Amino acid sequence: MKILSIIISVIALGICAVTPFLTFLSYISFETYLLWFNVASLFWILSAPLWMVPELFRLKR
Amino acid sequence: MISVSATAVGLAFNIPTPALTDFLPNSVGWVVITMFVGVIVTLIAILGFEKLSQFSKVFIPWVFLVFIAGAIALLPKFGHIGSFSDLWHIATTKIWNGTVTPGQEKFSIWHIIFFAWFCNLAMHIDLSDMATLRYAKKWTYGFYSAFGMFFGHFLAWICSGVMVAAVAREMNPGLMAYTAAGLAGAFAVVIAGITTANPTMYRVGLAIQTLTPNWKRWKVTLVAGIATTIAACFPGFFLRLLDFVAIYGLILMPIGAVVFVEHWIFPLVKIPQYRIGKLEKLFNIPALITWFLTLFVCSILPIHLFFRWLPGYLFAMVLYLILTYIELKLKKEEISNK
Repeated sequence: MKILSIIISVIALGICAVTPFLTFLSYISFETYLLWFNVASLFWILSAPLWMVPELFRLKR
Repeated sequence: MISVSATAVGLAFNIPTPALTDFLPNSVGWVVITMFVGVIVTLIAILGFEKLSQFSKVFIPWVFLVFIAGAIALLPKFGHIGSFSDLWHIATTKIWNGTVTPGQEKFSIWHIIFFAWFCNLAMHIDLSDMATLRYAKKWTYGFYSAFGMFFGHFLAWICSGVMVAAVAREMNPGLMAYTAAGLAGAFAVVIAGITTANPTMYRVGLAIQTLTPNWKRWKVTLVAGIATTIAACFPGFFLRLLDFVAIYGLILMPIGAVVFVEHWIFPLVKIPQYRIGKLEKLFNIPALITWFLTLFVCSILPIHLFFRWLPGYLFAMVLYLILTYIELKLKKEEISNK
């Protein structure tokens, strides 16, 4: 689970980093950048806490 | 920063952001949203340093990217950029074109550089960072102050410049970020506001607790949060943020100089360190005089507010050294007896 969440969050952050440059270089439209950036952001926000702050998800006895 | 976050939340409810000239809140909606953000900021600060760091750890890398992404993605909106000279032309004619918003002051690059230094002055030179850096396991953690200053301000200001120009120079952080990065941008402004306000709120809680040691930290933080939230409702505060930040950095600056001299310079000139603590005195008279005199000198310096701290800091260091030396000469017996 931890490895999966790391992979998802790294890919998500990578998409957030790359898409603006693709728009700048006119490979994708501004609207496509917005869509990808927002979806990737959602994935980062959902997956990053799973491995960055795992103590939040540990059940107390 | 609570108000900055409120501009982004206000977008969702179509609540207008106060104008640059407003002092009082412009609508009930604005007050309600600012109160809502203030409650969240205060609650996170009440949860303590650990929860604060967990929250920041997840969001900061992403918020940082939102700023850069927004600016880069918006650049083609100003025109075709095929070379560096195209970029330079757009930067100087459409982004930083030297046209000042009516009623606002014109800043040069030096103002920006000094303010970027100044607005974190309270954290590094004034040593407010010590509230959190006291937990540092290595001395290199001190470099995090540099990250805040160089990336958090220089880069953020450059990116903000691009984004503000893209929204026809409307001073609305929420709208600016929404245009640049959609909902993620608006959310990033909320998070950036919360993560910036939280450590300060936490520090305020710690500081007030020294005056009210019988109060629990959560209670002190709650009082500080209520006061800050009420202040945040008044646009007069956050739209004059630059001056407030500069003044609060300036007020703390002489004490930062005093601590620096006490810790680093005194051993070099063979003056005993932490004398006042060892003598169990309530007041450090040389420090008190240094603080008053430095602030007085800074207040009459004929230069822009943003530039005053640097000569003031050097003045405070020299003055504290001289005053301590004089006091030592006058009270040598007292120290040797201890």
